Amino acid sequence: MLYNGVHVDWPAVTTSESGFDAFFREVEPRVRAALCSAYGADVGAEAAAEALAYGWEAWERLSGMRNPAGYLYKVGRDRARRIRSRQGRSLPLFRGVVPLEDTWFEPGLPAALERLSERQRSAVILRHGYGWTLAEVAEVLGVSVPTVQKHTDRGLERLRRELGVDR
Amino acid sequence: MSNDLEQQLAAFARALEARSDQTEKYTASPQPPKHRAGLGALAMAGVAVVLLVVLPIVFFKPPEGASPTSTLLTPTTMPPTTWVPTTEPTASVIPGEGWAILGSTGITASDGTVIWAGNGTGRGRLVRDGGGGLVFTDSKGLWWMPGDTTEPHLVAEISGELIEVIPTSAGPVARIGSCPSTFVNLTDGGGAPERLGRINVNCETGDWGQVGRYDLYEDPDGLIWLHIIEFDMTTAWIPVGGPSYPSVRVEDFDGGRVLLSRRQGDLDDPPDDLWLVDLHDVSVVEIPFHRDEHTGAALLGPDDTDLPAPWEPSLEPPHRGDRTDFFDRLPVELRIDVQAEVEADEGTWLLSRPSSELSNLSGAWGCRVPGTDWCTLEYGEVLLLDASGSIVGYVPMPTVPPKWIAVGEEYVYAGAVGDGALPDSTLVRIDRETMEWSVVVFEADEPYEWAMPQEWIVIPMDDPRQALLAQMVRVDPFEGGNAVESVIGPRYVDLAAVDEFIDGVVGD
Repeated sequence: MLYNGVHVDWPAVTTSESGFDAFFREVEPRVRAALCSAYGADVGAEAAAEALAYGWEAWERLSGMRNPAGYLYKVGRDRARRIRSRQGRSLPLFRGVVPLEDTWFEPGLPAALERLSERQRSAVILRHGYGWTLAEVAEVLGVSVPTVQKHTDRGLERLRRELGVDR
Repeated sequence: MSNDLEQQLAAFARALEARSDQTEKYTASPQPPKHRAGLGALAMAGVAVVLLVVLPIVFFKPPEGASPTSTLLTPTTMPPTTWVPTTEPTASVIPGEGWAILGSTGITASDGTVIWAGNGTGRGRLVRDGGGGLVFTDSKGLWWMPGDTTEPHLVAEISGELIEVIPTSAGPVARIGSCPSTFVNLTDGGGAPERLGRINVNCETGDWGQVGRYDLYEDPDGLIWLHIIEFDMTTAWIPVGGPSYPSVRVEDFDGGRVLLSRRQGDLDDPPDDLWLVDLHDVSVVEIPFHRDEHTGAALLGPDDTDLPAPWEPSLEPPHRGDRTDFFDRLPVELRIDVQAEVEADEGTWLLSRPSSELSNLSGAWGCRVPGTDWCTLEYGEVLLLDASGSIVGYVPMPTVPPKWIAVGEEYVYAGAVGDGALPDSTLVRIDRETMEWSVVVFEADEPYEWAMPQEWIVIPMDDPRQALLAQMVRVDPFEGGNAVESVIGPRYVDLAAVDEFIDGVVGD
């Protein structure tokens, strides 16, 4: 994953050490990135915070799960949908997301990403924006690797078409 | 992918991360949001669901003036199994039906009658005495309010949890603590033998109910099931708690009804809700109460001697596999709420969703069906019932409960029509002889593919075949369209076109 601009490999999720603290350190960036990709930075961060708070409360149960990050993503997704419906869906998902210093992206990219389906958007941003592997994306989204591949391919194809970018 | 677009996406991800960093984040600091402190404390303490946890007896002493012995009796003969009050209660202030709630301001009946306006009773349980009266404990000890009195009196200065009151020939006996238990005769504050009436306490085996007993059983998925056994026969097996409500207590059980309290925190907290389960018809009713006032509750009236019908699961699990085991285990009253039905030679075909009572209860486990990503609130089924009303077969329809159904010559057809809450639409075809089924999902704005059975065929949003659905299923009559049973107003479906379409996609 891309974390502070550097590619790092995820450590395996452990439930020992300092329990929830260790889990939190490993999982929070992943869940937040996935939710921000799907629902924008503001809603995604808020939903991730709520999901992690839930994770803290349900730690006993969560720690026994095979894919706790995927479970928390689903919790966060429910929260995000609720927040979105409260806010109204007319608000742009990626408002306030502007190129950082020394970087550039097409001004139309955020809107083009927003026009993708939720799953396509997440897959494209996590896979090609954050640089996650297909397996890493699949784990957090709770879907199979072929499904991620399918959504990534379709999302990219549509982005290229909309932005007029050649292969 | 072009490097240019890849670089743009990387730059976008960094900008996205920077923006999300500006938003207030949850940190792993140990204090959860205040309104969730109870649950958080529970989780961090690693406290598992507490099922009838009782404290050992700390001390036992009859109050001054109470008679006569403070030692437990050793039984030499078995006492008779019934107790008849020597006098009928007269001018009782305790109603003969409904329920009563004990709180810091006293005891109030469900019809509003103030049974006793006390104060400062502290927290304890409220239990029937089997003769029209009530028994409870508080920080001072064990209290009894016989049915023919207007004030409770202190029977014994004893601590520990009041489990139940057992009628005996010598008068009602309170059982304090689960195992080991201490028994106090309410009539004189003295001890009593360990075998009493319908209760036989065996701490080694845990077998303490001969006629009727209840268990609260936590399954591996964290769901809490109410299990009632009467005469060695299970009469109830109902999900009543779960991760969102991990603490459940049976406040009272009279043989036919169960009064349950549930908490999001632990058992020492005031309950968050109260439920009355009638085992005769598996009805589940939420009881209104003032949370801050409640400390205990009991059913009123005599024990129910009309034995409820044995529990019958909808189907012997597993019928379709582990994912539907939860529904197969439910009594049919909780599983099926008929939305639409059509008759056929082989029986009655139904569109069904879980009953509203199950939906109400399902908040306790966040609606998640164990072992799946399905939610009980978004679940539906197409079922075939035989003439006796038994389920012959069914097709689970998680996330896309069907809205219309029709019987054709060879197949039964059904379909979901997407809406704002559950946006996907479906076409379902079931072979009337073999029950083999095909499900085609027309993916809409928010795909639920993650929750769908793998056998389902998904038509993606950008697939041109999406447009065919509107030609096959319409609101207004059209040539080739058949009127179908629908729960969302008139619908007309071209069944031949559906056949052709499903044959086409299944063959892809």
